[in-house]
Amino acid sequence: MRLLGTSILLLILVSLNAILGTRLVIGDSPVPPLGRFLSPQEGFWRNAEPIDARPAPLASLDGLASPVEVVWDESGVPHLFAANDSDLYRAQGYVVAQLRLWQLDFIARAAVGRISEVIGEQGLEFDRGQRRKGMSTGAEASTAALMADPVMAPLLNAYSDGVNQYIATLGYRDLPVEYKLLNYRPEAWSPFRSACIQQYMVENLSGWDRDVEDSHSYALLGATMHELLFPVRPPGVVPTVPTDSVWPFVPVPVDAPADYDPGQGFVVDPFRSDPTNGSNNWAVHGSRTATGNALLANDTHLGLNFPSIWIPIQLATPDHRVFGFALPGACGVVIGHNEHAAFGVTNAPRDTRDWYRITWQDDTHRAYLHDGEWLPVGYRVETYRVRGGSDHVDSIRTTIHGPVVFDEHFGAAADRAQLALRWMGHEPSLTQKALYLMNRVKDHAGYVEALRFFAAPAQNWVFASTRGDISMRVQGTFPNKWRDQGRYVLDGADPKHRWQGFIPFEHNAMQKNPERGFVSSANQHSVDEGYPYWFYNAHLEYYRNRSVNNTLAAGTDFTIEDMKLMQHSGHDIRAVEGMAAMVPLLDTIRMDANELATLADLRRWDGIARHDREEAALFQHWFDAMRTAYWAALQLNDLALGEPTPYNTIRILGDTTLRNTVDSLLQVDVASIVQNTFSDMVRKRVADGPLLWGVVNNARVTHLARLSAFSEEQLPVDGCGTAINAQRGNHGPSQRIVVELSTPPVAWYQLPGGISGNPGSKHYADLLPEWHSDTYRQVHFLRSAREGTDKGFSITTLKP
Amino acid sequence: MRFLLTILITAAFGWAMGLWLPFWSLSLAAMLVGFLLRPGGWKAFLAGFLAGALLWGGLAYSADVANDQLLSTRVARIFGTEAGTMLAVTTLLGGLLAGLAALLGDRVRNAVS
Repeated sequence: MRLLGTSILLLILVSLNAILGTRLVIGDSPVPPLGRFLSPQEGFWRNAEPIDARPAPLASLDGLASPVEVVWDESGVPHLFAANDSDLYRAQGYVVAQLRLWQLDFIARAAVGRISEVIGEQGLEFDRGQRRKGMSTGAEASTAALMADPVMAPLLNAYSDGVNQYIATLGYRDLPVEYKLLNYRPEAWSPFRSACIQQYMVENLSGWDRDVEDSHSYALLGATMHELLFPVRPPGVVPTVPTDSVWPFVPVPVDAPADYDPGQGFVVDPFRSDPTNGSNNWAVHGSRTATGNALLANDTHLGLNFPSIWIPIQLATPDHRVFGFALPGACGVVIGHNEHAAFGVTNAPRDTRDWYRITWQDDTHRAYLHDGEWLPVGYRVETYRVRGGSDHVDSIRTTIHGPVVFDEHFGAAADRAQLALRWMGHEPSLTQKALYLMNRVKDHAGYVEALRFFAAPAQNWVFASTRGDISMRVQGTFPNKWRDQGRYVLDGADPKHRWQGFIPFEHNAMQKNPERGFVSSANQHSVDEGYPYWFYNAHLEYYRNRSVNNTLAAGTDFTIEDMKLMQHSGHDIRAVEGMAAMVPLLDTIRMDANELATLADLRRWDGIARHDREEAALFQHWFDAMRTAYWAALQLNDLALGEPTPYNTIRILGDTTLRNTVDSLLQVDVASIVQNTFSDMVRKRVADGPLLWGVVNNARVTHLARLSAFSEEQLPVDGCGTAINAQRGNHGPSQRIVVELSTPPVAWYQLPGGISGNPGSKHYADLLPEWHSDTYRQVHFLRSAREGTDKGFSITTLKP
Repeated sequence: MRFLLTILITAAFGWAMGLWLPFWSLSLAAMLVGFLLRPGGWKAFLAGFLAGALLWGGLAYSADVANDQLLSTRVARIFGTEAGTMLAVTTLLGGLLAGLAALLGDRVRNAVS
C-alpha cells in the first residue's frame, strides 16, 4: 500500500515536470513550457534587467585584429571604436545581436517565408506568398553579387560572425524573452540573412501595384474614363526633381508594340505591402538658414513596431566616423551623418513590379506561349516545415518573366488567374556596398558614386555637406518602359511586353543646389512630364510634399528648431482642400441645428489634426463615408477594382464638369452623397458624444510578433497620414533626425521605442514619450572612446 | 532547528543545481534532501515546499524589484493578469515542485530502510 502511494507520487512528480517542460497549444494559443518559463533561474525573470545595471566591462570576440571599444551613452546607444573595417562590422554584428537578436532573426525568417516554422499553421499562407513572389530569389541574387565583391565579402562575413559569436554564448536562460515565449532557438546568421533584411525592405517599399484592378477598370470604363478616375499625373503636381530646362541627355530608345490594348483583366486578389509606406526628407541650403550651414531632415514612415525597425549607432575607425540609423541585421547605417556630410532616404515610388498573363499550351501547364513558341516551365520546389504539423510542399512554376505567383494552387478565383511576376525585387542590389561608401562620403561626387550601387528599393536620397552642397537624387535601377507598359497586366506571349533594358544610371533624376534653396521629397511624382522616360506609379503622395515645400519656400533663416517643428506638423492640406470641395455641395437650408453647429465647428478649423480635439475625426469620418459611398458603384460583382485617390476625388468634387461626367457615368448624385454622409456623421457625433481624433487615429506602437502585452496604445500624437507628422494607427515616423552641417555636424534624433529589444530593459520604450512630443535627443558624435568615458558613459571592451 | 536547517539546505542545494541544470533540478535537489535527511511525512512536504517557495519567490522578487516590475508587468498582460500574480504563481510553483519531491524522497527512504 505504501509502495503504491510512493509510486503514484513519483508518477505525479515526473509528469508534472514533464508537462511544465513542454510547449502546449491550448485552443489556438501556444503556451510556453511553464516550468522553464517561470523558473527564476532560467525563465523570463532572467530577462528582467536591473534598472541600474552597468554593461559588462569586458567581452570576448574572436577574430578581431585589435580590441574594439563600445561606449554606451545615457540612452543606451552604442558607439563603436575599432581599428579597422573588419573589426568594426564584426563588433556591430555582435552588439546589435546583443540588443536585438530576436528581431533580426525573426525578420530574416519572415522575409523568405519561414514564419510557419515558428508559429505553425497560421503562418503558412503568409509564407507561401513570400516564397511565391520570389523573395529568396532577390536575396540570393544580392548575396551572390555582394560575395563576389572583394571589399564587401570579408566585411559581411565579419558581421555575420559577430552575430554568430553572440548566439554561441547563449544558453536557454540567456535567450531573448520572445524565444522563451514561443519556445524556439535563434538560427545561425549569414550574409544571406543580411540580404534577407534588405529584401524585406524592398518588399515593404516596392511591393505594391494596382495592375490587375487597373486592367479591370480600363476594360470596363474605357481609356478616357479610366484616365479621369486614375490619372497618371493629375494637375497640380510638383515632382521631387522639378525641371525647368531640357534634360541633358538622349534617352535610350524603347520598342513599343504597335497594337497595344490593355485588354481584359483577371480576377485575383493580389497581395501587396502597405502603399502608405513613405517618408519625408529635405535639405535647406545655407543661403536660407540662420547660421549659413545647410540643414537636413529625414523621417521615415513605416509600421511602428517594438523593437524599433531602426537602431541608432555610431561606427568609427581611424578613417571615418558616422552616426545614424542602422537596420538590425545589416552592416553600416542607412540614414545619418559623418564628419563631412549627412544623408537620408524616402521611398521613390515607381512601377518596378509587373504581372504577365501566361498562355498555357494545355491543362498540364507545362509549357507556355512566348514569341510564337511553346517554352517549358521551370520549377522551384518549396518545402514548408510547419511547426506542430506536417510539411507542406509547393511547386512554383517559373517563366522567363519570373515566378507564376497566381495559378490553380494559389490565389482567389484560381482557375482564371495565371499571372507571372517580374519585379526589381528579383534583381541583385549592392545596397550594402552603397551604404559602405555612403557612410564614408566626403563630398557630392562621393555621394553620387556610392549610389551607383544602389538598385532597390528605389529611394530619394537627400544629401547635404559641410561644404554647403545640398542634393536630391532619385536612385534605383528602373526598367526603361514604353508608355503605359506595366500599368496594366501585360501579355506574357508578346516579346515586346518584356522589360527591354534599364534606364542608365546617369539618366536618373538628380538635383544639386537648386535656385529655390532647398530640396525635398515625400513620395510624390519623381519627375515632371519633360523627363524623357516613362514614369508611373499607382500610388503617389499629394499632400505632405506640398506642406514641406510651402513651409520651406515661405521662410528664410531656418534653424534646427524650425526643422523639428516641421517634422511634428499635423497640418492636413487634404482636409483643407476636401472641405473646400465638399462644403459648397451642402444645402444648409435642409440642415437641423446640430448639423449647422457641426458645420460651423468645421469651418472654424485650421486644418491641424490635433489628437485632443474633434475636427480631424469629424472630417475623416465624413470624408471616408463619402468616398466609400461615391465609389461603391465601381465595386461591381466580384471584380477587383481600385478606388480613386483622395486627391483625385477632391479634384473631381471641386470641378463641376468633372463631377457631372462622373455622376452620369456612375449614375449617382454626389451632392446628395456629400449631404447624407455629413448628416450621418453629425448623428454619430450627437449619439456617441465627442469623437476625439486621438481615439479615432489610435497612434500606437505594436510588438513585431503582435504581442499586445508588449505594445503601447493610444499615444497622444497630432497628425494624420497626409500631414508631415504622418501618424496613422501603428504606422508613422519610425525615426526622425535633423542635422546641422556645421564642422563637425550636430544632430538631434527621435525613435518611437528604445535601443533595446528586450521588454525587460529600461531602454525598451524610454524614448517613446519624447517621440510624441517635440523633444529631441542630441546625438553624441564622439571623437573617441575616451570622450565617452569623460562624459561618464559606460564602456565595454571587446577583446580577441 | 532541524526543520529550519532542512529548508535552508534544500534551498541552497536547489539553487546550486539550478545554476547549471533546467528547472526540474529543483525537484531533484528537494528529493535528494528528503531522502538523505528524512524529515518525515508532512514535515518533508512542508520543508520542501517552503524551500522551493523561498528560492523561486526570493529570486523572482529580487529580480522584479531591481527591474521596477517593467518585465513582469508586460509578461503578466500576456497571461491576462498582473505582475503580483506572476510572482505568486512562480512562488507557488517552486513550492509545489520542491514539496512533492521532498515528500517522495522521504517516502523512498522509508521504503528502502
